[in-house]
Amino acid sequence: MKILRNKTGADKILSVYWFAMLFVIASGIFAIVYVFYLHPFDVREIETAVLTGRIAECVSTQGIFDDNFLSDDSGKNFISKECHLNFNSEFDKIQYYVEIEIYDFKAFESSSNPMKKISDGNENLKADCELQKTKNNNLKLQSKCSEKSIYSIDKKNVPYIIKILSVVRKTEKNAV
Amino acid sequence: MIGKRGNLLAENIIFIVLNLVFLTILIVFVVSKSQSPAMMEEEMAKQIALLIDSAKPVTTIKINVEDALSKAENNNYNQDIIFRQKNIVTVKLRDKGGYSYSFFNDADVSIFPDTSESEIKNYVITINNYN
Repeated sequence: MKILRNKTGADKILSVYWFAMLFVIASGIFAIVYVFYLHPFDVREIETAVLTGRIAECVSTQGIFDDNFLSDDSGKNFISKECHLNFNSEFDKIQYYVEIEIYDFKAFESSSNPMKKISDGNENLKADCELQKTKNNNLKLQSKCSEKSIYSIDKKNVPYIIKILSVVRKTEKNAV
Repeated sequence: MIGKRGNLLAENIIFIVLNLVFLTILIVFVVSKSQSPAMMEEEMAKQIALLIDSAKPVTTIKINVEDALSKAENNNYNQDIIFRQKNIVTVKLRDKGGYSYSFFNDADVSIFPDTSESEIKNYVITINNYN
C-alpha cells in the first residue's frame, strides 16, 4: 500500500505560482486603467465642426450669401469680427485658424482659383491639415481640421460655392 | 486522517479569501479612477465650453450638477464650482484642482447657480448679446 506523502506541500507551492500570476494580471490591469484615464478627452473634432457650422451660418445666413465677404475691407480679423468669434484662449499662441474660399459657381468646375480668399487666426496651423491627409497614426498630436463646402446665392441670385476650413490645435488639453 | 481534512479546508478558505481581496482591490481602484474629481472637472469644462460655442444669443442653458456638487462637498469645497473669466470656463471641485477650457463664442456669457429652489441642484448659463 503506497502512502501518499507531500500532496499538501505540493498544493502550497502551486498557490505561490497562482498568486504570482494574479499579481502579474493585476499589475497589467492597473497599468491599462491608469493609462486609459490619464489620457484626456479629445473634443477637437466636435469643436472644429461647431466652428465650421458657425462660420457657414455667418457667411450664408438662411441661404443668402453675405456680400461683405467679397468686399475689399475683408482683411485680417474680418472673420472673427463679422462672425463674433474670440480666438483668445488659455494658451499664449492662437489655437484656431479659419479660412474661407469663395468661388463663382459657374466657373467652379473649370477654375481652381477662388474669387476671394479670407483667413483669420494662426496661419501656421494650416500645414497640419496637409499632414493629416496621410492618415499616419503618429500624427495624433497635430491639430484637428474640418473642411466643408456650401452652396449659396446672394440677393441678386448669383450662385457661389464657399469652402470653409476650420482648424483647432489645443493639443495639450486634448491629446497629450 | 481527520487532521488532514481540517487543514485542507482552512487552506482553501484562505486561498479563496486572498483571491477575493485581490479582486476587491482591483475593482476599488478601477471605480475610484473612473469617478475621480479630476475627470469630472475636465468632462464638465469641455461640455460647457462646447455648449457655449454652439449657442446663439439669447439662450439660457440649465445643467444638472448634483453629482459635481456632492463631489465638491466630499472634498470640502464650498465655493462656486463653475465660473468664467473672459472666454475661459473653469470647473473646480477641489481647493487644489480645477480644469479650464476656452470657448470661441464672442458673446456675453453669465454662469451662476440656480437659486430658485431651496437646494442648489443646477447651474444656469446665459448667452447674452454679442460683445
